Amino acid sequence: MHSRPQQTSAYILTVGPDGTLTLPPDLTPGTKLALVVLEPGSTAQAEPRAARFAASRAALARVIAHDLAVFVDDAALEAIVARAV
Amino acid sequence: MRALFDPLQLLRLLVRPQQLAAVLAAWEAGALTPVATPDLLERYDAALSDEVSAPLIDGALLEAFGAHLLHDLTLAEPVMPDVDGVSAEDAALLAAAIGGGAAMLISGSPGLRRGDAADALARAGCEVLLLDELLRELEER
Repeated sequence: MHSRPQQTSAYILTVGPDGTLTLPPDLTPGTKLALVVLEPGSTAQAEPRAARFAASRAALARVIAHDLAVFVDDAALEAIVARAV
Repeated sequence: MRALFDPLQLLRLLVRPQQLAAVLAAWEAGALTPVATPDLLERYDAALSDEVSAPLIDGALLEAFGAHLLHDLTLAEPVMPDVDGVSAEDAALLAAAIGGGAAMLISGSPGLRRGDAADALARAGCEVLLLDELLRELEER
């Protein structure tokens, strides 16, 4: 038999893809926590992740092999970010 | 280990493929997990999609990296400590690093290395590193 869900205030925390959980620093004893845990061995999670990293490796390999990177010095990058962000 | 990149360091990474390769390898292996707040993600987007910055980055690489920002980093809510004398930009990084439980904040901002900001980060166990220092640390592992 399922009990009826209760409504209560709680921190909602997600265990990140690194498998770790960070508790809020202001957490006091007795505080209710609701955890969302991603299954570590989940194929549905792992396969797209592996595909994303494979795509990045392939793009990077192409950039390096064909010397496509444009050199930009730090001062120019700083100016871009200062304007854009 | 969770790491938080400031937008400038992220852009630096994307125009330096060898350095990006080292960070992605650590990220894929789980040795490094970038963490960000929703606000910081917006700042990443602004820095990487800017009309000047976007053409500097290979299109396929930018698209592939964007997918990691969407799916492979840990999102956190900012937690702002009680600090004085911190710029708005540094405050956002500070709150994101503490809220995200980052062990490393990758930033060249001098404001994070002194005063209240440095104290708050030290209390949270978060070290402020330059990108080059992070890369050296990854090499040594």
